[in-house]
Amino acid sequence: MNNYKISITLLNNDGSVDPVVRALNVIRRGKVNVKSMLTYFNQNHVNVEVYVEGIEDEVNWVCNKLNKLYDVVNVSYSTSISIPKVQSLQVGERNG
Amino acid sequence: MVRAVDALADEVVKMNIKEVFGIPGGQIMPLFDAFYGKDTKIFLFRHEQGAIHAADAYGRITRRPGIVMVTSGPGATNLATGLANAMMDSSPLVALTGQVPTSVFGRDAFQETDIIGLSMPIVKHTFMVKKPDDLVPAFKAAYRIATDGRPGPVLVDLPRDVQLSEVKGECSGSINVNYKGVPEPDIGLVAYAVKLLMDAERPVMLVGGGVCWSNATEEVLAIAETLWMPIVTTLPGKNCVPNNHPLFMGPAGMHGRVEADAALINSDLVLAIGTRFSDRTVGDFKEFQRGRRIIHIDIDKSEIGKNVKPSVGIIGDAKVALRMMLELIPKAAVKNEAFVNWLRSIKESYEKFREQDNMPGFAPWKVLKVIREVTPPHAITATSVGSHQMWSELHWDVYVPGTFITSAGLGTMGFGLPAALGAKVAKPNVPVIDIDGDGSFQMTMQNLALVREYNLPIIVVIFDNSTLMLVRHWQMLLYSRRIIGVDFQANPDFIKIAEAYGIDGVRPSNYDELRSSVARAIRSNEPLVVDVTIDRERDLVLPWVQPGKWLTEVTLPDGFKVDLRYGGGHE
Repeated sequence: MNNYKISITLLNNDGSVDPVVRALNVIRRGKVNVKSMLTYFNQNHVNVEVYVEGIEDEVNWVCNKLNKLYDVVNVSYSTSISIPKVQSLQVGERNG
Repeated sequence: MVRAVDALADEVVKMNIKEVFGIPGGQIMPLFDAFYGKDTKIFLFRHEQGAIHAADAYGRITRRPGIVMVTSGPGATNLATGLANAMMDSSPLVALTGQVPTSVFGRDAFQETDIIGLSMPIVKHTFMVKKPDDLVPAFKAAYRIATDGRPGPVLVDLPRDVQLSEVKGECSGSINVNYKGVPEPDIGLVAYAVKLLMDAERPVMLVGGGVCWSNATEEVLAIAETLWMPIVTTLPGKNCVPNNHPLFMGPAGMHGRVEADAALINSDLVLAIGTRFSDRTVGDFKEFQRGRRIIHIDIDKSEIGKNVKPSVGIIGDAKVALRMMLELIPKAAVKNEAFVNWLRSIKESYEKFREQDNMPGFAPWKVLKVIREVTPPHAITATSVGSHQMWSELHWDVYVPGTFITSAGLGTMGFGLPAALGAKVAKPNVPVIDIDGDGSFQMTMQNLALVREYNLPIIVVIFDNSTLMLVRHWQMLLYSRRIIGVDFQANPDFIKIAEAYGIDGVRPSNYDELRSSVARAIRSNEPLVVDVTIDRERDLVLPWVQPGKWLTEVTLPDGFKVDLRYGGGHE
């Protein structure tokens, strides 16, 4: 099992999260463990970085599946050196 | 200015879409209204599942996406099975669903369901149309996506306020879609595949449903005949090759023909075309890959290496790839006639065994033979799911590619009747037969109403064993005969059901009655329901391979013996 970063570029359809959900629906059927995920919405595109743990064959299959989606512009994967740390929220913070 | 739905209806007419299937309801009423007085005919089904299976079959026959229109909430959720079915069998269709107005999105409005969220994993693509100007472009994109590359279903969700909003003539919106197209096969890989093929001693071709979509039957036969390769198929692949071709060995796998299993078992190379290597065909993936090379041609990159790791994976259209191979294969290639002869001897001994089988009452395989005798070669056959389907896989001969419709991947009971109706709409002048089971038939039989309403004279043959036979089969063989929850104690009278819908029904008492009633219905172009009583205690579909097992572990019918190892005495 190794760590990989899957980089996905999606079309941005007026800020809809549907393209992201569609991509996640593919990833959740792959035999990979998601460690972290970052999503950025730009004017024309949505960039998603998914950090996963798994075997390369499975990561490759997930990428091939992602590449079939009609809002995916580009998808690639690379060996991930480190999983980025994302600032976590404290319980209750979201209400304050 | 016109309503967005009027622009859509105009576009549908312009696209020469003559027939659509569906059921109206509150949130899709504007779209139905827009078709008022238009040339496009709406076929009103009695359940949305029936409408979408009909659209699915229509798409398979016409090779253009079938269109299904339903309302929000239950109308839309009733499409779920049909969407998954079309996705699994790579069948093109466009589902148009009504949706509550955008102003009440997420407020649990009456008949509100997030059909986009629900359907995303079981369709090729979805569009939630929020701007009136996007309506027509979204539909056109959906229609194109449905047949782009590997076919499949696309869903377009239409909020009522968007449908009713006014647009200037043609909708001017634009839809962002990254179409995929079809890659050209890599010539280097094709050349390597041909080298492997020429080096093989016992190559076998495995044909999947992709061959039909690619129109590659001619190329399949040309390669098979040049190399004298036995042709084995998947269940959908059975539809892609004339079953009376001398090299056709039939479908392999769980409910496959024994000669097809023997071909795969003894092959040293498999040329697999347009197949995803279903567990139903292969059984044990590891054993399948042991000691044989595999060439896999598929339009879908994600299928290469998914279940089976090939020696060569060629991504592209099957017809194009096979034509490239044909250019490279020597015309005077060495043919292993002995291998084919051995497989044919197995086929003959199995057929002979069946002929001598004296099953009391109706034998399912013989019912199929009798019906086939009186059915024109170009007739379309649909099946539901159950033992009748597996008997059809084994014993129904498809003479004209593209005329056999079945729910292969999802295994949807209730598919047969509405699929037959959709096929009849697509080809009104061709006889259409639904081979069904009593369990499957009862799941969608209310759609018989369309037979008289729209003059769709189909023939329904019910294999009536008063049980869910395939489940019973597993209970008998895998669950120590603990029969539970499968036998019907009080089935309705299917003849009276037929009569209630204005259709003749017959319960034949022998093969001659069966033959003459079906022949008469075909000759007179009249609908018919045939209730064939079958003894469930004798309806085990054999040969059979347990799930997950390799083909060598096939369970054969009592009294039939064969050595599946090549050189084992049949040469």
